[in-house]
Parts: sequence; structure tokens; C-alpha cells
Amino acid sequence: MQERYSRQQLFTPIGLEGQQKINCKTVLIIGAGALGAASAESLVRAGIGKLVIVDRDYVEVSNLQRQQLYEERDATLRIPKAEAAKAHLQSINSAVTIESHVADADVELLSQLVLEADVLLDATDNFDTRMIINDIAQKYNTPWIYGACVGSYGISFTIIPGKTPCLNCLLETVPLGGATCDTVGIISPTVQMVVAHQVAEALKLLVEDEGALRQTVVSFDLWQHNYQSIHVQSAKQSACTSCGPDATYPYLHYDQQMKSAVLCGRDTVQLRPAPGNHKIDLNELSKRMASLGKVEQNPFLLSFQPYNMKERMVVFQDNRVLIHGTKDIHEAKKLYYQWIG
Amino acid sequence: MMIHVNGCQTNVPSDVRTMEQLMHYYELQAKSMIVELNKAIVNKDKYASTSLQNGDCIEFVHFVGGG
Ligand SMILES: [Zn+2]
Repeated sequence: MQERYSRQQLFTPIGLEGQQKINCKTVLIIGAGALGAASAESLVRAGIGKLVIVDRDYVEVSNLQRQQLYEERDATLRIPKAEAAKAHLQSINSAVTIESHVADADVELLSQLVLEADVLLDATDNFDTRMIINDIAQKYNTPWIYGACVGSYGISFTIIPGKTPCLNCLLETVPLGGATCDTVGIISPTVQMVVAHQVAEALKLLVEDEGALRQTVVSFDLWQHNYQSIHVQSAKQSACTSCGPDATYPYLHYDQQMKSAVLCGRDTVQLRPAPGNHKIDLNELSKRMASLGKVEQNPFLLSFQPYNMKERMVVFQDNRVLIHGTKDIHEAKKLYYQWIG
Repeated sequence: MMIHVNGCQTNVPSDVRTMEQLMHYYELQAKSMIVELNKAIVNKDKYASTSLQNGDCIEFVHFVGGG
């Protein structure tokens, strides 16, 4: 028995055999924010063979309250999250192979990285990327574990191609304009609870104990003390375009992805959400943004100027969004996901 | 009418008679949710035609995007 993993091996469902499986498997974590940092640390301590981390962002001081792998120095130096995570993880467990990608988790990159992954762990902050993960998982027959949180509320579901419903079965359209961590906040216990569910399910997959998988959508509110666990097998759609027999994987096609363009000479980026997204409700958005900055609205558009920021956002009724004050598409998308969700 | 919503016993106004009205009462976005009534999932196109009875147990699960 390896001393390092002895307590995990004493746990009967894992044992020596399970530990050996964990030691030679690969997990791909998409996103290295709060969820990604926590699940990465957990898996690296558990002795995962290889961890691949994708994140496009860098560490900021407002991350430190809950993104457990990062330190003040990372924020001061604006170290990319995937790199900062790799450095800290490697000092926790030098035996684990860690591969970091400072990049957008787009179709092209995920199509390569999925090939060697045994499990995909969702730690993103937006549904556009989740719908891509959902289609990639189906196309390459790889399980993925949805996890998300906001405020004191969290949710998780394990999606097994060919068995469970997929995210496209469960959602009619891509949700837009919901609450985000940047509008209604987040407390770290919520992150930990989601990650606890995700990593427990990941370990079951890694030791090939499929019978132990939870098979329900789990959601909870840590402030209101409630916990739901719902059987959703009946929600599997036989004609689903992502997991049905005639799947077309719609979110892997160019016309179903968010389009972005830098507007020349205007210090502005235009974002056009995918047509499958549902319409942003400007009145609802206006209510939600009112305490965060200056909101002006007319029948055609809403303009939002957050307090203490130079960037400004204009949202049109056709879902088109202009982010003024930047020429950087990554930065613009980041602000979009922070504000719109 | 007395019902259980996400584990909490709740008294809702008498004009809330269907699942759709209940979701409206709580200002819930129908599209990004799963709704369970007495342990069975309610299809999204059945919210308006699903009537509620005293003592029903309803679970709302929101799909959120944060992380
Ligand atoms: Zn499906």
C-alpha cells in the first residue's frame, strides 16, 4: 500500500485496485476558477495520473475569496489561472502530470483534449461552453460532470453518453440572463459543496464503479437549508440532436457559436450570442443591474456602465451586445459572461 | 392552498391553481428549470395544464451558469 494514498485505499469501494486505476487515468478540467481550482486540488491529492486544465483568464484579487489555489502574488502579477494552478498543484503532488492550456475552451481545442481524457469536469462560468462540452462528450463517448453555483445555490449532474439524458435534453434552449457570481455573488461553501459532488462522481468513474453513480440531478441551497435530488431519466429525448441516434452535435458547428468582432477604431467588441440562446429580457436585466452601475434603457437597447470600471455594455433587443472600452475579444467575452451569464 | 415547495411547507394564494401560475408567482424562468411534482418530472409543455392540489410536493431545480 502506498503510504501517501493509504486512507483512500482503506476506503473499500476504492481499495488498491481503484487507486491503481486513479493513478493511470486522465481528467480534463474545463475552467480554473472556483470550481476548477477546488476539483483540481482534490484530484491531484487523490493521485490522478494526469490532469489537463484549460482556462483563458488570469488571477484577480476578487478571486482570492474562493478560488483556493491562488495567492495574492498571483493576483498582483496577473498570472494566468491555468499556469498558477499548475504551479501550486505540482507542489502539492509532484507525481501527477499536469498540462495547462491558457486558451479559450473552444471546439477545436476540446476536440483534441477529449481524446486522452477519461472524464471531463465542467468548471466553466457559462452555458455556451457547457453546450460545447455536452456535444464533445457525446461525440467522443466520454462522461462529463456538470457543476455550477451562484450565491448559496449549487447544482450538479453526471452525464453518461448512451445512458443518461444530456444537457441538451434537459434544457430547451441555452439559458441567458440568469444570475451570475458577478451580479448576485457567491460564497465559498457553495463552491465546495458542488465540487464535493463532482469529485465524488469523478472518483466513481475513475475506479469504474458505474453502479455507484448518483443518477440524479442534485441541487441545494446552503443558506435556505434545502437539498433536492431528482430522477431525470424520463427527460431523455429520443430525438435529441446531441445524444439521439441521429445526433448532429449542433453546438460544434460554427453557426451555433458566439460570434465576436472588434469594431475598427471604436475601442469596442461586438458579441453576437448563438441563435439557439434564448432572448435576453432587457427589463429583467435592467432590474438586476440597477445596483451595480448606471443603467439606461430605451425600447431598443439597454446601456450599462458599472461603477468603478471604464468598460460599458450595450445590449440590443436582438441579443447583440457591444462592449465599449476594450479591443480584446477575450476580455469582452469575460465581461459578457460576468454580467449576462 | 398548502403545498410543499423544495421541502418547505408553503401557503400559496388561492388564484395559484396550475404549475404555470405557481412558477409565475415565484417569478421563475420556465426555460432553465426542471420541475418535479410528487416525484415525477413535469414536461415543459405541461406546466399550464398541470393543476395543483392541496398537499402536493413540488421541487424546482434551476440550471445556473456560475462557477
Ligand atoms: Zn440529449
